[in-house]
Amino acid sequence: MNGPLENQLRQLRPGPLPARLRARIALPPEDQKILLFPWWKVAAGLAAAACLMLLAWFRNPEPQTEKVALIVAETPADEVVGSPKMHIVTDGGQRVWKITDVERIERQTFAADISGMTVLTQHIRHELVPVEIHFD
Amino acid sequence: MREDASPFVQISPSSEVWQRWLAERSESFFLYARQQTRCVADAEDVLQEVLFETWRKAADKPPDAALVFATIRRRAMDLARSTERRAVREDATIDGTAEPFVMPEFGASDTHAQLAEAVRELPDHLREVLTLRIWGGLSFPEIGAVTGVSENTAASRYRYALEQLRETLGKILR
Repeated sequence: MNGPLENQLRQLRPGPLPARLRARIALPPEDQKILLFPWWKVAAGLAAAACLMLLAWFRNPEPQTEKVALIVAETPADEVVGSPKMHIVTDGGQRVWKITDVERIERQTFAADISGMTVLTQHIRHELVPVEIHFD
Repeated sequence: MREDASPFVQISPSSEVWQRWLAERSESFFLYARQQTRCVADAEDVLQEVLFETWRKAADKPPDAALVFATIRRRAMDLARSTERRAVREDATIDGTAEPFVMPEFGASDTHAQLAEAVRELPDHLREVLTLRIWGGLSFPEIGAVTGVSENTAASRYRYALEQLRETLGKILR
């Protein structure tokens, strides 16, 4: 049996759902799971990653290719930096030999015309040089 | 289909049933959840959890309303025991974000507004029974099962609630 007060109460409406909650429960649980794993976002991410890789590859070609194909200058340099006398030897006869250690630095410069990159290589070589000593 | 859902997402057939169920019952569920929790944020969390849980248990069909109310009550009590979380959420009640418990229809008389206020001021145990009866549409045995009291106690509380409302409204309108 409904009295007038109960009828009046039923005319009152519960407060509306907050918009935040309404969005959270807009779909049943099984559809929420689907939304939690958005395949279209994964596909878009993969496509974007592929584009970035292509862009990076064009901007930074492999170093070996540039080194081989784009060398435009090679400047060799050779410098003797010292030749200290090591010792004097005789060969068992009348000849006397002076052994010197010649220290030489070989430098080479390579330049690439696109990137402007310069590579300097340097080798230090030692060479034992026997010189016969002549006595007057 | 939800407006912001991707066109690539296939919505399940149960979505329509879900939407219809929410349209019919969600506001009364939220009203009860709001009364059982300390703030709107807690009520939202509890209700979302309960709706999903009961929907799954009912195998993707609208679950029994009494079961939903009972689960809301249990979850709200569990949440209240979590003092740490409660302390965080208490701040939210201060900023005035709380939704009204009940509101009169647009254009209704002042009496309805006063009635809504009188409902808000009822003691918790009376308001709970009144809410489950009037807006939840539950029977007294169901209300007893939800609240953990006997059917007769539920009916008595309902009568006390109505008497108190009449008394309050009588003072106002007098």
